[in-house]
Amino acid sequence: MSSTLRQMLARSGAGLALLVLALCSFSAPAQAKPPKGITWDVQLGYNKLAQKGRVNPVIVDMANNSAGTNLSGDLVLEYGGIEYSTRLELPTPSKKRFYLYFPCEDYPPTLTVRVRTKAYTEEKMISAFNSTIEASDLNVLVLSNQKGSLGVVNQQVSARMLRDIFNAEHAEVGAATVFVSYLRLDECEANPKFFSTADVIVLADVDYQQMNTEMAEALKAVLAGGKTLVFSLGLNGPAVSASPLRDICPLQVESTASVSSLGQFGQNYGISAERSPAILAAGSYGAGVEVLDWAGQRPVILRSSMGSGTAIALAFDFTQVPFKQNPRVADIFNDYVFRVDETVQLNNMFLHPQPLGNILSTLGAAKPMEPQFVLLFLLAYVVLIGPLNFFILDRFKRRTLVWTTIPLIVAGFSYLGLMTGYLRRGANNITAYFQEMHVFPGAAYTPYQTVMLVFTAERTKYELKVPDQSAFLYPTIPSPDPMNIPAQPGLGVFTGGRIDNSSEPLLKMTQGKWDPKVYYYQGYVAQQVGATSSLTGVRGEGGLVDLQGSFSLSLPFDLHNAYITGPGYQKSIGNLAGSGNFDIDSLSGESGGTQAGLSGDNYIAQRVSEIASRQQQSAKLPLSYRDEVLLVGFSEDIESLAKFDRAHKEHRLNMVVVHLPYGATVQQQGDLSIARGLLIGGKDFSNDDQRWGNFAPESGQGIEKVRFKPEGFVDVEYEIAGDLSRDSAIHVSLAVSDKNDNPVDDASNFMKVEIRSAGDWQPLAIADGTSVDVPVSMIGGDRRLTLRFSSLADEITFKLPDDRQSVY
Amino acid sequence: MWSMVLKEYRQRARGVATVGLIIAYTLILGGVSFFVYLAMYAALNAQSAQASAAGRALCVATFIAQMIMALMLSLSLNASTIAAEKDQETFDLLNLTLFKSWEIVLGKFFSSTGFLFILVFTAVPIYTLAFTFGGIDVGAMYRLAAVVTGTTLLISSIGLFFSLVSDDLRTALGRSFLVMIVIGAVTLFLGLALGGSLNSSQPNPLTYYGGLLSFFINPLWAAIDVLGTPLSGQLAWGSNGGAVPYVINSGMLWAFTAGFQTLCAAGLLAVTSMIYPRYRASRQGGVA
Repeated sequence: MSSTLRQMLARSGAGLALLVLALCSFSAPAQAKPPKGITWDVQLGYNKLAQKGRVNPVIVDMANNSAGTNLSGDLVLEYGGIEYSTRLELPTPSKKRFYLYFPCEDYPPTLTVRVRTKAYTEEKMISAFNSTIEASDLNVLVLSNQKGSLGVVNQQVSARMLRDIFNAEHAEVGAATVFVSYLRLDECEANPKFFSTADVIVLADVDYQQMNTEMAEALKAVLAGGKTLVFSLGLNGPAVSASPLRDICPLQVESTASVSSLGQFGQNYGISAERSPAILAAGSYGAGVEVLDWAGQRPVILRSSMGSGTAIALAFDFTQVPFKQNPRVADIFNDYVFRVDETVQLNNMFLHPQPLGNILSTLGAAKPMEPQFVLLFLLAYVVLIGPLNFFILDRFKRRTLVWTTIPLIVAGFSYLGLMTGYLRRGANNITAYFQEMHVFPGAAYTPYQTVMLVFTAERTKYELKVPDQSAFLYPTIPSPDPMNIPAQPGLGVFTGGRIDNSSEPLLKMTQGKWDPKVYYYQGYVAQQVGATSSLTGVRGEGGLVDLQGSFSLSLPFDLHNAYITGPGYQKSIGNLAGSGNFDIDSLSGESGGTQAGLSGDNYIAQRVSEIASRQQQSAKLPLSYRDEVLLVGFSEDIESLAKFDRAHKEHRLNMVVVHLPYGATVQQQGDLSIARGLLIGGKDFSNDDQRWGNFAPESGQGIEKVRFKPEGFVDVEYEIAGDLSRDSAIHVSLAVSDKNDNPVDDASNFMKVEIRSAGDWQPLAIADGTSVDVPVSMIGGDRRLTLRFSSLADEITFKLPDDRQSVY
Repeated sequence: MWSMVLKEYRQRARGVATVGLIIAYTLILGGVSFFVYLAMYAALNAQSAQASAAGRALCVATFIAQMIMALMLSLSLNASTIAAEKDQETFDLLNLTLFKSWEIVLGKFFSSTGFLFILVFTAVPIYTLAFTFGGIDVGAMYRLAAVVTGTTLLISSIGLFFSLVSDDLRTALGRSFLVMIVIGAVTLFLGLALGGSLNSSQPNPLTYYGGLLSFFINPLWAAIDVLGTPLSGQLAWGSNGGAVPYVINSGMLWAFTAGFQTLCAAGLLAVTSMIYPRYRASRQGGVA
């Protein structure tokens, strides 16, 4: 290579290097320093704790004391490539608290919170790597002025039911660690979204003067959705009665009393009021309220169902003596608040949105072209642009025109391709909603979830607004791992859009030509719907064997293709008027229920039986914990949707699920059998089947085998069917293994078995080392018996007796 | 220069090779699309796959096939454009013309690259077929087209450079393909290293700048950004990581890639034009 060439190459190389450096010097736009006087602070979750699989709040406190800088712009939370934003208007001087929300996926979140105004931009990174709890953990939010007032339950392991929409499609039962956070009432946003992270909300020493109507309504909404609301009364009782929460507190407090004896309740829990008298709230309670424990003649723990949730009133204030920091308060919460049947939230009953999204997505999809047509199209193109084109031009001796004819043929075939698209996919934008609403007798709010398809026939910018400030709009549908193995569940790809979930959700988005996108939101609507039930059901070994009685409805629309479903029970009832009183016997499947007349080219009609089947599967486990059946129906005549074509621009289909409680009785004839055996509580235990982590999938047998830590226990409730007079005792076999998984011959050295009787735990003798006999006389009138299996050793595994072979 | 381009086009229009090339090119692309569709048809019919997935699969398959063919053809056509003159001993005759060196270089470049663009353009109906299924929007197609254009220009300029500096066609082709393989492998490796670090910690300067350069040179990354999972949103370094956060978070990687490749092509053409007189002068009767 000559020196001239080397010089030229060197010059060119230098030029290229400069070019690269110039490109590399691009960087993010410079961020100005915040003007003096502007301060802001960011707090993730409740007490900086993020929880996977939930919608978490981020609280931003901002103060503007600058000299003349009025802030106007956006406050943006960036998570997983998605911007969750809220409008920021902060004139000087002023301060304000902002609430942002994000759905935490299945890994510890790293967030960027950004102030984006004309005056300046600034961002803060938050990493919750060491402060993220699992979706399965039990999140307890204590509204209190005293941090640590419920510290005795923090980090204890308890039983619960869970359906993590980022990880599994079905509800599961298992062991969960309790995490307690504390906030003052004025730190909370009066919006149901704020409380959606919590499982249990405890109203401790709250300043009820600050309990305004908006906050009370937010709490009532989340209560309807399945949260457990605990009132710590005592001296707070009169304030509760004077607050907007009065109608949901199980105890209508009229007075307070100072007592020096807590009676049976005090004895059971080892809490004495002799030295420090306890203040108990006293008053009346309604017909639907269940008294769970008594202090002498005074009801001390009361419970009522509100929608899908539970309100529990503690007649005492656990922040005051003799309960203050008393470790036995943990046992009270474990026995009454953290029971599995108290954690059957509506989320456990909702259909998973992903299959619904898949169903709706078929609406936006083009019908598949026949492969022969595709082949013909391609062959015609290849023949025309190649041999035919050249041959014809050759015949006319105009071969050079090929550079004109090729683009013409390309344009022509491209146009034909697009026309095929228009014929198959239409020229209209389409929206289709599937909304699942749950109606509970007596509940002021109807929780719902909506899956929505937006199909755009042309590239367009659009805004999607959900007219409900309680709703949280997800950018896409959360995808669970079908095998329930933590892999890469999450929200998938979502780019170019921004969501403002701070009040009424608003999404701004650009969507392409013939592009379907599916969104998902959950919320609560205050709707004038009513349902009452006077049903009775008889349970046998296979579930509900007989359902009698009547129910009444007051719904704004008729139900189509309806059916009633319960544990082991299914009845198709066809179409049903939205209002009226209905006797269960008079409802017959005259139209054949969900399968009736659903033929034709219809996206919902083709899939409605699939929806119904998924709904039954989804509610299977939660329903087994509740004495209720579900009346499920569709708000529109599905047949009319069979006329669907692409000229229609909007479709909405509501699936209404009415929860109808029934008075349960147990079959009293025949051999003894287990009508129902449920794990209802526990402490310091784990699922022994590590394939599933601490939770057992619903599709399996549930938890079959538990591993106890020292002093761990599980509570199992059995409902015994059959003729009790046939035997004097119920025989329960025990299968215990030591920490090395070797079966033990004498279980009495490793565990103890107790039965709950009259609010107390009575020990049962382990006969011949492998079984206990429960005297029939100890079985209550409701034919239920609750056994507690506790560990006496370092660590043991124990197979739950849950079938006829182990209990008879 | 344009007379040279016109002459080349006339020659190509009359040649049998052109018909064969167009038939082979469209047949391969059409065949790939058809077999991908055939593979997805059963799933589409059973509604176990969405039409958008079929559209995306068709588009990705067509794009990959097109990129491979564009790479091979642009290298072959350009590497042979001057080297073939040398083999046929017409290079001296070309140099005796009154065309300036840069006119010869650009004329050769435009005639072969223009033909390549016509070939690339013939894939549009196949893309529209994919487009009718959804899953990909027009914007993505434009962005892909820009990436294909940039890549074609860059590869063509590399081929042309080696066509000039090599003594015969075989050497030119060998060198061109060797360089492309090396560039492809190195940019793939460095791009993977940088891509792998996006969600962890900021890498060392070599990986950082090498990776950044790879993002610009190798069209694979831009195509992944447009068609697959966007690279944006995966960055765990904050906004103070230099150029990379801006490049990948702006959603403009396709533009950076296409722009950078075009600039590199222009630079390489300038170098080729500058060194051309040296080869011209080395021949008897050469005119600088």
